[in-house]
Amino acid sequence: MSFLSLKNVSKQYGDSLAVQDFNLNVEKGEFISLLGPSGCGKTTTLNMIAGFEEPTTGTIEISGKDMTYAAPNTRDIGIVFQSYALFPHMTVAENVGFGLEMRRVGKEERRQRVLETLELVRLTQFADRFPKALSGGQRQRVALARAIVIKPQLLLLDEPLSALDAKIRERMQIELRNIQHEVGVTTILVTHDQAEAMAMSDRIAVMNFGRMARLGAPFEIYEQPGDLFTSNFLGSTNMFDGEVSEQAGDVVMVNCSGVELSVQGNAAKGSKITVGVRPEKIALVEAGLGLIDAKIKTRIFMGTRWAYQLESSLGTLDVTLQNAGHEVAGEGVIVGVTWPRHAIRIFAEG
Amino acid sequence: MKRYLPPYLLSGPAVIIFVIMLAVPMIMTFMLSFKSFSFYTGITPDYGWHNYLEVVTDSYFHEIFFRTYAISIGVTLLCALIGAPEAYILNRMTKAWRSMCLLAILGPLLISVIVRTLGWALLIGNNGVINDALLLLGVIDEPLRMMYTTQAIVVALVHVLVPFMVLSVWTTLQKLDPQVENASMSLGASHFTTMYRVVLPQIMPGILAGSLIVFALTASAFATPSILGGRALKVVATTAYDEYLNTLNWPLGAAIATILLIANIVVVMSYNKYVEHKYAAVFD
Repeated sequence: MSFLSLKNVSKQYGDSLAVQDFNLNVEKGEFISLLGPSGCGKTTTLNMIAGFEEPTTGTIEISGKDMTYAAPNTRDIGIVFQSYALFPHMTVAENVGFGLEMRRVGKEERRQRVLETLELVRLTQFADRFPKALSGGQRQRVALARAIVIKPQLLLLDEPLSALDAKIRERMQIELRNIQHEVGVTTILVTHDQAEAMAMSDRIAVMNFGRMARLGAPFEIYEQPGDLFTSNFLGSTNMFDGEVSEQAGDVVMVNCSGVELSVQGNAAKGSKITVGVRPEKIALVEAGLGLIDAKIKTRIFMGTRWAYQLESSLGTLDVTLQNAGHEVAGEGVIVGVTWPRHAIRIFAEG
Repeated sequence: MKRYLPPYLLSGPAVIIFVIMLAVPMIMTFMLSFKSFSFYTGITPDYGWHNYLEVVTDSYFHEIFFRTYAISIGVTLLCALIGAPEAYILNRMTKAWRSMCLLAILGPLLISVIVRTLGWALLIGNNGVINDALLLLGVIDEPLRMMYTTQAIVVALVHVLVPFMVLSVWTTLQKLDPQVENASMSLGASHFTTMYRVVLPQIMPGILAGSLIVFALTASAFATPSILGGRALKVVATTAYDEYLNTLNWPLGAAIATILLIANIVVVMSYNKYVEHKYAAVFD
């Protein structure tokens, strides 16, 4: 019995289906991300869980109770909004205490719990400030404190970090994850940022056109994305279209623009397929020693890694190399390109 | 020095118009209010405070000032009670409906004040539409007296001034984060609590700004009280008019006008100061 389950949930606006036949089971204490491009239905899904919108069909159960049509103020859900939606006319402490006040928690206990939560998000000294006087990161933490102080059974995060700049965002990811662990609340994060989803979640539900494209642990779905969309959305992929020329056991030979590639997997001989390999799985070797030769078109140094673009008979190849501390081949050089056979994956015809 | 010149040149025409059309007549009115008047000699330049003393000591004028400000407060409160919810609903409408409703709300402002007020007279007069209908239906035996009452003035003024409140509140509503209501609901607040604790405090600056406009316009309103209030229910503006044109006591009329202006300025300024002080820490 899952803690939260969405069963065959669909949402229709006029003629367009925002969410189609969506199924998701979330266990207690789990951190799940709904990941997808804008317009994929992830926010609509979140709004239906929160009760701001009603599904056209399907049911939503929380702790075994049917909550599909329950009013938002009866669901006991903490939400951090993309805009934070703080109450500008209340101080930080009043903002955080609002949910407790609505639950008729006594004044003394309320003060105590507000203080504890502000401590958790390290904002104790800002208790009497108005939101206007806080930075983006601080507002974000007030929003989080306000959502968790009520000890909700479910925490929803709607693109909570998208308004922060990159450095603060990375720090907040870790902080948010730690706080979620500490509080132990079941959490659903909506985001379009795959790095954020992978950094924070136990499992990721990748969404596309209102449907669930892939569900699984971050490492699992990154390595076995299943379809082209998921593969491309989670990270860049070098893709080659080709035709299966031979099949032996669980290895097939694929002819891509005249190059024979050996790929693990099953596909009927003669069928047209797409294969893909991630940039970081590719190794550069001396010319002639790799699977094919390629010419280095551009080389960009990014601190932790090198980003290459190569010209080869397979087309343009993106390659990233870890910066190991020594110089690497530069632009114009011909190099060999290779990858382990298990690193290249078959996708249905793209 | 040269680069300081263009701003003065640019604002010059406006300043000249302002001086000729506003400053000069105001100063002349102010000067006039200190002169004397008698039926036989007309206006004489015996300067003194006697006109002001007359207004301040005569209970006839007390009543008029009291009525004016009572009507102003009443109209302001009613406009806030009607206008704020109206603006809230307007803000939630779809675009097409909103344009239509906005036109209906702004309608009164598009009609000449005299025509609009005479329209009210047609509606509420002793032989007006409402009385005729009620008599015909047998609800009443003799016409209700609605003309020449304070209520008539208040209703007609609310009708024309409510757009100012709606527009003012609407402006603040547009700055309201649409998610705060959801945030409040998700924290367990009911619709009513959300309205009262979250939405209302945030649109309060708009309500207060709108109140200021409505109050000032009501306190100096002339045509509506003049037509619907008649000679019996005088307000300050109609009293000043009567002093000028009926009694021909221009200096007294000028004194009344000056007092009204100063009283309005004092109310508006202190109110503004209060609002600014109250919301400085909260809103941008």
